[in-house]
Amino acid sequence: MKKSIYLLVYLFLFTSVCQAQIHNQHSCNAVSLNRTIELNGSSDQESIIIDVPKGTSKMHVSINSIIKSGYLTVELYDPKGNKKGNFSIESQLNSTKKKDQVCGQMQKHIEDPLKGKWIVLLVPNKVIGDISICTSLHE
Amino acid sequence: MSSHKINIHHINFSFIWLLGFGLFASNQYCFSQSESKNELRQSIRGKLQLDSIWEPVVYLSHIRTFNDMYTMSNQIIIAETKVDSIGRFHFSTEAFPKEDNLYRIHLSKKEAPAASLIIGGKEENHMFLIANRNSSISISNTSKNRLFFDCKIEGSQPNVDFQIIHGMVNGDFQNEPENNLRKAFINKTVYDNLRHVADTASHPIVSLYALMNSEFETTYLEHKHFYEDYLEKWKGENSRYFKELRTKFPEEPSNSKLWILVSAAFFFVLGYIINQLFSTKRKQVNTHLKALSVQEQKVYVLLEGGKSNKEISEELNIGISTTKSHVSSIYSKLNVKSRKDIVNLNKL
Repeated sequence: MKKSIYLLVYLFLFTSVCQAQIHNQHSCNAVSLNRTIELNGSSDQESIIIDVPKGTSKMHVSINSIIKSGYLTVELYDPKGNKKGNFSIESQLNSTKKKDQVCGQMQKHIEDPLKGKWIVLLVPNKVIGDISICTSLHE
Repeated sequence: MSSHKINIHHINFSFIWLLGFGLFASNQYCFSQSESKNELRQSIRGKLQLDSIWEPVVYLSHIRTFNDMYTMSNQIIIAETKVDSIGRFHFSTEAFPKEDNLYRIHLSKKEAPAASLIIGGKEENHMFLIANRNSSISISNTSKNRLFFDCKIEGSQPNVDFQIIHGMVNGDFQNEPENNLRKAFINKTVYDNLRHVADTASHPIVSLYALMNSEFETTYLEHKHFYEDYLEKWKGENSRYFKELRTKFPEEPSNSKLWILVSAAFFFVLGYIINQLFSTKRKQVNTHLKALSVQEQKVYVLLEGGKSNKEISEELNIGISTTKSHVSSIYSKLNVKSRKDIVNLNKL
């Protein structure tokens, strides 16, 4: 009886460890790309390319931006050129207080994304602020 | 006797005072009742279960065009209100325009700017509402984990319909696998459904929101008649939402405009031809006039003035027969038959 209980406990522990290893392996197959851009009154359009390889099962894109002044448009395009999301933020205050600034965030979670070049297009107009783009691709 | 009189006066005074107080109290009660009813009638109110990450303040923004749905600035926020300890908030709609417009309510995270917009994910912080001056809209959320996800809306069917369309547009179909036919099929079905909703919805903003998200710009030629009928159906709608839509369709010249253009072109050509004809004739006359002698030119000027042969001979101090000879020569050189023709020549 006692041996059976020990056996069951060992089996349970063994399967748990295996599960954890499998999970860990999956996590290892994730590729992350983080980029932070600081704009100091810039009006130069910028494209950030996310290269999605074949076999990517999930893509997560998170764009965070906070501006003190200016007008910023952020757009996300798939490799076919279809717009998958956008937002615009504007601040006329040029305030140093965070509470008076303007913040825009966009989160996109895409299953089986199209392989190819996804583009995050930044269109600033005299923007003072920060943008961070975090991407993770999972096999 | 006198004390009795005083008593009666006292009773009368008390009665009047009581009556007055009663009237005042009932008036105040009725007023407060009607005011609170009015407040309920003209408001956007709600009860939210809030996670501790959120600042308990609700912000209201006026969305003037569909392009501004995902635009955020401090200027776009028109009102803010605190969420009380049990999650209630309230906006009066008394200052709203009479016509339905699109609004957005949002909350911001603690320590984040008031003007914060979070799109997508579990922390999406906003929802859209259609409202006017007399709107009475009540909203409540079902979970504190997702702010406006699966929100319950009461008192406004257009808003319920709008949320359904919003769900269709931003729903799970967007996450279907990209590389297979199923995705294309689902997309087509969704866009067909959106066009159907746009066609059947009785509320203009709801109908328009469905249409704007049906990829109408890329399918215009495929469904040309549908869009022509759609524009015809809502031709009386002059809100800026519809004006924005009309700018996105290729404008064809209407029949009346075409007629004006054709008429203008016709009269321009006609005027040009007539001018050419007269200028040719005028040139001929000028050429002929140059062929007249000095004396004949003097006679010609007097002929134009309607003078008789006798008057011309007296004025130029020449004989009547000479005058007749000059006149005859002028007729032959100018190829005219009478004095009247000479006068007409001058009118060219």
